[in-house]
Amino acid sequence: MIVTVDPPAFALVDFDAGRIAALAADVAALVGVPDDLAVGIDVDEKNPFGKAWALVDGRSVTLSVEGGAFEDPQRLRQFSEAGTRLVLGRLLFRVADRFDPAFGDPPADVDLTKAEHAAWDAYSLGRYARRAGADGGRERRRYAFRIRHGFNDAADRAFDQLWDGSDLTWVDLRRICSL
Amino acid sequence: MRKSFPAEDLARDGRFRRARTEDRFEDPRNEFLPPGRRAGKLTPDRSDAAHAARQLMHGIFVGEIQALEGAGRTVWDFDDDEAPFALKLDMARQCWDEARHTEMSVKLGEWMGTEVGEFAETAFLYQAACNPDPVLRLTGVNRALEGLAIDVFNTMREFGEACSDPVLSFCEDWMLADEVTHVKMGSDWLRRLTENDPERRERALEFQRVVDKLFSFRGFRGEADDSPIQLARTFRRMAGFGDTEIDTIAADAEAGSDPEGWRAPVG
Repeated sequence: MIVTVDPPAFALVDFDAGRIAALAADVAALVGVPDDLAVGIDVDEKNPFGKAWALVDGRSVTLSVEGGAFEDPQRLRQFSEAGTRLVLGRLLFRVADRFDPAFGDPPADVDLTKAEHAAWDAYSLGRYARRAGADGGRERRRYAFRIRHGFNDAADRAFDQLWDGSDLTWVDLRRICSL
Repeated sequence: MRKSFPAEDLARDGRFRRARTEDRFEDPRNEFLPPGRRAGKLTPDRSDAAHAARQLMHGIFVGEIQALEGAGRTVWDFDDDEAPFALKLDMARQCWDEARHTEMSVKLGEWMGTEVGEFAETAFLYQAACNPDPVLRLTGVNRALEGLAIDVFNTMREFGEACSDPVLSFCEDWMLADEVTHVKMGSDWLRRLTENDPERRERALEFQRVVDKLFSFRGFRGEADDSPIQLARTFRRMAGFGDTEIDTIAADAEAGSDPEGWRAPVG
């Protein structure tokens, strides 16, 4: 798989494009992203906020990342490898799902509701945490899920099903969340 | 034990990471943000609502520690001829409140999935509590800092209500009531201590205004629709702020709002 990072050198933050590309390749292999995809990572180093999203076009994938998403929350403008792995794991699991015929046919990211985003993120990060043996921030994600699905036992059960789930389909995600 | 403890020497365990306030304000990325680009009012509609709320909650947590340290220093730093014993008794009582708030904030952080020290801590709240004049320190802590706490807690309370989060909204409401009491205490002591010294009162209010401008974080706190922290007029009135005073804070926040963007120095 070919991974490119733009910009190739950073001026405002202490990030390394080569390191980001290596991490992305590592995480993509772990997640099971098809080998023939071309993955481009656009990092907006001027932006301290933390949004990150993926766009799939044929066999090429673009990950658009606001610089804050890769930043260490304890150290201003410094790179966080653990945080970056989580962001990439979340995005690339969703990419892998889109290329998996068994997963179904979810709407484009731009057409997803915030509740659907929260559900798919929980499912993606739960799988990533298990596969990588990493702390995926389960309770952080539960809180984000509760904001979209409610602070109640039913929402918590749905979250646990997603986080602990595997081989789910888009229809399963919607059913679990009763969307 | 030494008096007037510097912010750099505040004790923290290995989980905490200190950030310099100046670094936040001098972040070279600030100048690249489009005019008016702010994170926006903290509501569930924001796509980053969970992260923003967790970050703010951590800021509240370290703010409570620093408020505890500030009120505690006032109990120790001044002799009785500089600050009446009754004032120091009020500060001791406030320490108990702040200690309780700190514990509540830790638990709220856990509720939201946040770990102690997850975000960097700046010491700018405590720095407002280092003035060597007890009256100026009182206005810095009990009117500016605790006034900010009223705004922050009310914002978080409303966020909790909008999310139907019963734990967050209940706890914030409870702590908000304490903060109103702390500001009221500051308003009352300022009046009593400067009753026959209008010049000192004026200096204290000017110091408060300077601190309030810093706390407005270039529009982070204000009445603009996209200010993450909204000025809580009703609760400020309950705490002894006059409408003219609140208008001044709002006007200063608006004037200090940097159209080139900002990064909230919270947490």
